[in-house]
Amino acid sequence: MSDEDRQEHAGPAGPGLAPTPVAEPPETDPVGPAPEAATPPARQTVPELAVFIVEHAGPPIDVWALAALLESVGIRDRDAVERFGLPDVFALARAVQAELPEAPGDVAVEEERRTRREGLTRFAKIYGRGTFFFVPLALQLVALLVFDVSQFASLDFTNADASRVAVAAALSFTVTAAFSQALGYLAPVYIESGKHMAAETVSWTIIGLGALAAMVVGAIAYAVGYTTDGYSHHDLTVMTAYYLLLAAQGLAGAMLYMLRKYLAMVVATIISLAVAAALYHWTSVKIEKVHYAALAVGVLIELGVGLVIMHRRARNTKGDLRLARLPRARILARRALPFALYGVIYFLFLTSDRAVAWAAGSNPLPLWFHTPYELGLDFALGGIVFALAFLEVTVEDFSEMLTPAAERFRVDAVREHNRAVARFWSKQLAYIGVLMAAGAWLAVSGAVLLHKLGALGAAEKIYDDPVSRYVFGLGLLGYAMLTLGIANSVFVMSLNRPWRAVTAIGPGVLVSVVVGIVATSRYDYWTAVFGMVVGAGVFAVLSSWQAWRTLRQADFHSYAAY
Amino acid sequence: MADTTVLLCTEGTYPYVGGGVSTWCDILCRELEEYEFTLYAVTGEPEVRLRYELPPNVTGTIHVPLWGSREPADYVLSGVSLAEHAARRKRTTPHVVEQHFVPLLHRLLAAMAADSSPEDDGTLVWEMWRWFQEHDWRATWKSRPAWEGFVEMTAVSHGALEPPSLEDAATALRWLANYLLPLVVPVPRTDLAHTTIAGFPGIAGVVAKLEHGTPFIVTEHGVWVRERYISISTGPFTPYGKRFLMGLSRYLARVNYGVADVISPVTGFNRRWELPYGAPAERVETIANGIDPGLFMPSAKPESTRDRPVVVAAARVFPLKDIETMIRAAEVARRSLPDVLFLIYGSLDADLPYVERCRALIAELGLEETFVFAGHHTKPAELYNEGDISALSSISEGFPYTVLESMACARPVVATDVGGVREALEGFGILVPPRDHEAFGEACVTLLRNPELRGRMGRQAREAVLARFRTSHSIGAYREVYERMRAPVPA
Repeated sequence: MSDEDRQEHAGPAGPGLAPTPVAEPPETDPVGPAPEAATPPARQTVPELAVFIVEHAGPPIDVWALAALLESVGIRDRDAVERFGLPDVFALARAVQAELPEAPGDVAVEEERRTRREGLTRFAKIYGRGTFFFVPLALQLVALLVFDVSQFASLDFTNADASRVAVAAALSFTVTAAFSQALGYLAPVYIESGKHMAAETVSWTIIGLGALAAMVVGAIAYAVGYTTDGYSHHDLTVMTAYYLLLAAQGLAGAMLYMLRKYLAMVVATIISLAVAAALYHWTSVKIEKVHYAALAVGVLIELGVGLVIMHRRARNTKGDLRLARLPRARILARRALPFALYGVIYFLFLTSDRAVAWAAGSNPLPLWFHTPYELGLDFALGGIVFALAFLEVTVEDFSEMLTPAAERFRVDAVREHNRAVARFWSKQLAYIGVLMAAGAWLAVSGAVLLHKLGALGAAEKIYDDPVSRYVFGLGLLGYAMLTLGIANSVFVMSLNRPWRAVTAIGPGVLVSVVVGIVATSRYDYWTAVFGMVVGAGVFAVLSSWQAWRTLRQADFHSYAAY
Repeated sequence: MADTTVLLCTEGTYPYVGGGVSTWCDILCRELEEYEFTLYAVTGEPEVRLRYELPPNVTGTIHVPLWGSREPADYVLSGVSLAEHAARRKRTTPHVVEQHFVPLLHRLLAAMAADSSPEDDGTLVWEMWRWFQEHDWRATWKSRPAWEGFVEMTAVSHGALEPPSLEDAATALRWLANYLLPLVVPVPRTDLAHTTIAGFPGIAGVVAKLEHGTPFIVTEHGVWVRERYISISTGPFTPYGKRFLMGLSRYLARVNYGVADVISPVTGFNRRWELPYGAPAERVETIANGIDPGLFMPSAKPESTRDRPVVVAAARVFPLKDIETMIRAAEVARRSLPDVLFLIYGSLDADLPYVERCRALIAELGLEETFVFAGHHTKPAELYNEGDISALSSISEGFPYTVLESMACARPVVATDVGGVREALEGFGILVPPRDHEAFGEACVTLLRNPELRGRMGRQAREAVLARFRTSHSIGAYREVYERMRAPVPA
């Protein structure tokens, strides 16, 4: 496996989630068992033999290598005597060595430069893949606008309905993130080395464990909800059903993403939305049951596709690769732990300020969905989509630049190498900054334009409600810093230093929650957004420090990452 | 119950891969039934299956795949508790690595860089092994002190050549970590250690000698360091990568030869390489391979091949066997004998692209009816009797069983004059220069056209096997070495 392949990354396991490197793929013996055959021209002179050897094998390592190479092309002691008048092959090797053409030295590596057109095509392809994360989300919005219903939302929703679904969604995303990340980290190792039976085992085990964890957390959440007296039996049943189905969708989607079956994910979403629209418009089934059916169909399609693909690959695994076995479960768990933890904390970050806002004040339900707040944050999130999608380009470019950079600098130029890597990092952060600014401008002008056109519909609050405007503005600032934190995490995780990313985002989420609770207990519910802003700032600062300390030793970390 | 135990160390052969060395190992274990063998099998990847039914006196196998896993806990040390792994990781702090391991690494690099050195006593290998019995492999190799120590040493020890790139250095250190994986494996206490190659598996023998005082025997079929020179020189590596890999290979060969009590190549040909690499001449005892002439008996050709002049060959189809030359030789032979048939028995799985190339050449030369890949023979002892003569076109050999087996079946052999082939075949077959398909084809024709010559050579060949190349001769020699080695040293 080439280094280029080795540094391929699994990519993020969800929108905006820092891409994880795949676990270190096993290396294989670089020295093959047998040399390629080559035949020296008959009756050549010693100088001709020297030229032949250099053409066949490059400049020989030493005279012993020459002797071995001469023997490998059929020259024996007898030939040395009869054809060259020398006592043996070793003497012939010495004679050949004296005639070797001057060695060109270690040839400098010439960087392959892409043409502008190739570069743009590549950029469009990778950036397109980055925006793919948002396709299912965009499809939901389109469905909502066109059919009044999506996979788990509806324009008919009351605030209580929205609150129930929002809590279920937040919890499901957070719980399944751990397993999505673990899957994206562990399974590709076995897939890339052709050990599909092992990949199948590890994938289904993680998905099974994810499902079990989701059920356990669901049961605990149900029990907590039941004992706190805030939710009715109906509320809890509906929330649990949404939660379990969304968790299943998260796990099934993670599997297809790991298998890189992006189109299948889009098709499953479209079919699921079609089911929702059909049931909503042509039957009198209750909205939650419409959603259950739609989600179930989507999950079944995704699981079915994943099952078929993995099973087919496993069945077609050839030879001894069928014997591949997995290390002990605890070893795999230890390896995947930081990535899983990062996934969970990331989704906690995304949902914690909302949860704090939902919990603030006295409401009909313990966790109450505030439309102005959610609209403000969702519009803000829309503003960073361009920058988040660019992270895919950053991951690819960083992976691609590491080996050429290490080839360009000699072992006595470590500092220069590390400076070059750090420069690349700064440049990428600058690109991301520009994209964030452009995204923010587009989000603001988009909202203004839609308002002027009267096309905001139910989202008109973003213009009318001051809470939405405040949250939007602060949300943009917070999400910009969050994006900076994720970008930094991309760099440290690409160099297989996941704990550094965890120790940056962990304090961030903690600060977000604490500040949010303090603010909402003293002021209005929407001040929860301050928690997110401060927490994101902490994440941005800590992750920048972690990235800087990692990249100033990029030589060591890129060696040790694999 | 056997009272003498032997650690038999192999690389890429017994019990997971077929071929001449594996056949030798199987015969050794079966015939020396009074000894109890533990196999120490170094392979490339962890995914292997047994190709041999192990005899009852093989009581254990330590499998050491050098590649294909992330750390020893995955496979090589899967029997070690996770608590112990955690304890090793805890002990392996950067400070400890810097204080104790980096000096070992520097010594290793210096030894690898030396073009030649006096007899190596293996102390460095032993000290590194002891380190890895207490410390974590990954935490050691992937530590900052190890990397910086390596870079520092690499930056100053490149001689007159250009310093390598950082990528070269990173790749080299990763190679070193994997190739030296045998250093993490506990070596059981046995009465003897016997390696079939002076390479990576020999590390176990070196450690056994220095840790437990176990006598150490090196048997070489081919010469490891020579084969590494060929593979590495023609491999897709940078000049620094080639120098580095050869430095490691040369160093390990020297250590094997330096520590071994007996070096027993299967052919005198190997001495040419072993002596310059530190094998003391007084410890080199050539022991030729042997076969069972009761198993390989001459008989008449079967109905299926009776009406055609037939050349049989037993060979795995891969480049070292130079099947392409044999194909071209078949074309030469067909010019004189239009109905000649070359029947090749052996695995077609070793190198699929090479097999495809051979098939293309057969098609190109229109030899579909002349040159046939017949796969595995159900009764290997009988395959030579399907032909009039047998053939071997290798560009490199030790002391090949296929030549002895054919001789035992009274089938004269046309073979390339490589390795120890001449020692077995001279006078009982025709030797030709390697890669010379004209000479090879002509030699086949000479024998196929002359039944009298064929018959005389065949009879003499069988007599030579009976006199010099019986299993009992070869095994008797190893038994004598084993007994001598385990005997107490006189005061």
